[in-house]
Amino acid sequence: MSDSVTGSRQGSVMSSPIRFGLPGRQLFGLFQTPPAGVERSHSVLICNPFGQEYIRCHRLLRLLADRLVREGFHVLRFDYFGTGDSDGDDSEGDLSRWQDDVLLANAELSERSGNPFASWLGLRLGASIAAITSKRLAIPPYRLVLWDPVVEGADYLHELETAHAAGLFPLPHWDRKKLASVAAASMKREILGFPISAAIRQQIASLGVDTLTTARAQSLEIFGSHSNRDVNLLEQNPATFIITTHFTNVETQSIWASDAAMNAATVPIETINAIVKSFLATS
Amino acid sequence: MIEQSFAFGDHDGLVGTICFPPIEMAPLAKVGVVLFNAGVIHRIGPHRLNVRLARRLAANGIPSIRFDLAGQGDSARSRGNRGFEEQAVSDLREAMDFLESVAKVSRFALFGFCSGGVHSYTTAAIDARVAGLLLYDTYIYPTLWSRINRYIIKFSSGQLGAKTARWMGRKWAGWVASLRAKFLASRTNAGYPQVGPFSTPSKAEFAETLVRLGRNGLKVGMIYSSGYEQYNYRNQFADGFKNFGVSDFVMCEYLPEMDHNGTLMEQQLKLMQIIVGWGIKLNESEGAADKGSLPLAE
Repeated sequence: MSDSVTGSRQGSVMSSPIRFGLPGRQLFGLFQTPPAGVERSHSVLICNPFGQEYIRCHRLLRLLADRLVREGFHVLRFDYFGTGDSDGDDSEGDLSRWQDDVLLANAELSERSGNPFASWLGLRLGASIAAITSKRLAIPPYRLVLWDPVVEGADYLHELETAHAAGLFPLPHWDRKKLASVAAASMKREILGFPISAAIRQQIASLGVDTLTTARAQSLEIFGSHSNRDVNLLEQNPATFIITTHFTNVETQSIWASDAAMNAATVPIETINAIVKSFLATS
Repeated sequence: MIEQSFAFGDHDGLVGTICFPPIEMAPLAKVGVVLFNAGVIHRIGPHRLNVRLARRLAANGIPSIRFDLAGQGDSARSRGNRGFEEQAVSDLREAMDFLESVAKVSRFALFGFCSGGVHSYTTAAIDARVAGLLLYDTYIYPTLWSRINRYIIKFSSGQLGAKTARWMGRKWAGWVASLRAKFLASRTNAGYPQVGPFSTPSKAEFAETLVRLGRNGLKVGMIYSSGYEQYNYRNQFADGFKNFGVSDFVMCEYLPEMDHNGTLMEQQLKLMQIIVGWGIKLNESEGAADKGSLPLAE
């Protein structure tokens, strides 16, 4: 466990920025401690999405974490190696390394909170990473909560590439043909402002339904919306999951992962409310 | 390069990461760099630009802090009753205090991305420790040519169809009158684009502040992308301010192939090279080190 230098107390919630892991590959985390008297014997580890989706969701995951910690959960949000405020260049991370990071963060959360139970909550690619990593634990997470998980990796890559092409240069420009060719060439090495190596592209492309159906936890809960085709596909085949899985569809007007929300902070409060409610119901 | 994350400021409510140059590069630069939120994006910046930038600065001997303003990113809400702008300025000054205490720098360069530039500018106007001010897509001052050029670009990019062009031809008298009205309005701040929720100071007011601060040694950099239609040619800033005596201490760069968020990595690299090069020159002008002892940016 690395030392937390200081922390701020907002209300009676304590938030401490920490760096943990080996020198040279330390991860940034924000560890939050609930108010005295309401602590639960249950912590929550939050697994971020990838690339531009991580930027778009930072605000909503902060609000979700703040809500959970006020309800008595210890919460750790952290950045994978080569992402966010953690050590490493953008091109150094991959799904395999990020699984190790989830295990490291889980151990850090357990040690800091002293809690026997930890649930994992993953959003988009973070949900896939959490699902894969859950199989590597001797004692699986208490609850595994997957929010709009990536179901088919190849579809997800295509979705990102489409957004990349559409998101560049929305304004009139002298030479749009040149810009279009620049955008097309850039797609091989980067997506929406972040590098994407051939290795990580291959790892993402290999993600499929079984990534999620073979996840291990005491309970598995998937949050999506009725308009999420991927989640609907999973919901139609609940028997394929090796553990009992509960689906919650939440309609929201805040499409946080849209091009319009690029570099913005749209918060789907309906989904946050539903997730917090589910944690309270099962803790 | 060593990075450490801290809670600092009032009630330790602000969260930031300091990026120190490698120990073997001592003595450190005198001017440290302050990086913070771009609009609502947390301290890592658009596409993690602030993190990459901090590491490049450190590789050139320049320490930096990247932090979240109160209530944004990972920082706690302020407990006071200051307005947003006043609070942001207070947070920037807290960040300078903190960087000074741990990295032993006494002067600072503030990098403001988009509306963040408003906070940087306001802080530089009242805090003499600010040696450098770098504003990205912040205050835009249209000129007569930029207004005409805007329509030419629309037309050449196909967004303004032939039908519209014919209509404009018929309405040319009204169009010229409208341009003239906008030009006259630009002598006050009424005709300038907003920066997020903030208004742009009039040209005279902006120039007067820059001249006053320039006399005290402040160096200013203005960087523009192609993200705003109102800024659309290389010498626009120089043209707009040619009679205001600010060109001696204002560096201006125009990146026509960069969108506002700096999405393409090639353009991100170009932006970082400009900023790091500017930071090195700023340190040299502050007498931080002999010329040449700070290695050149990549």
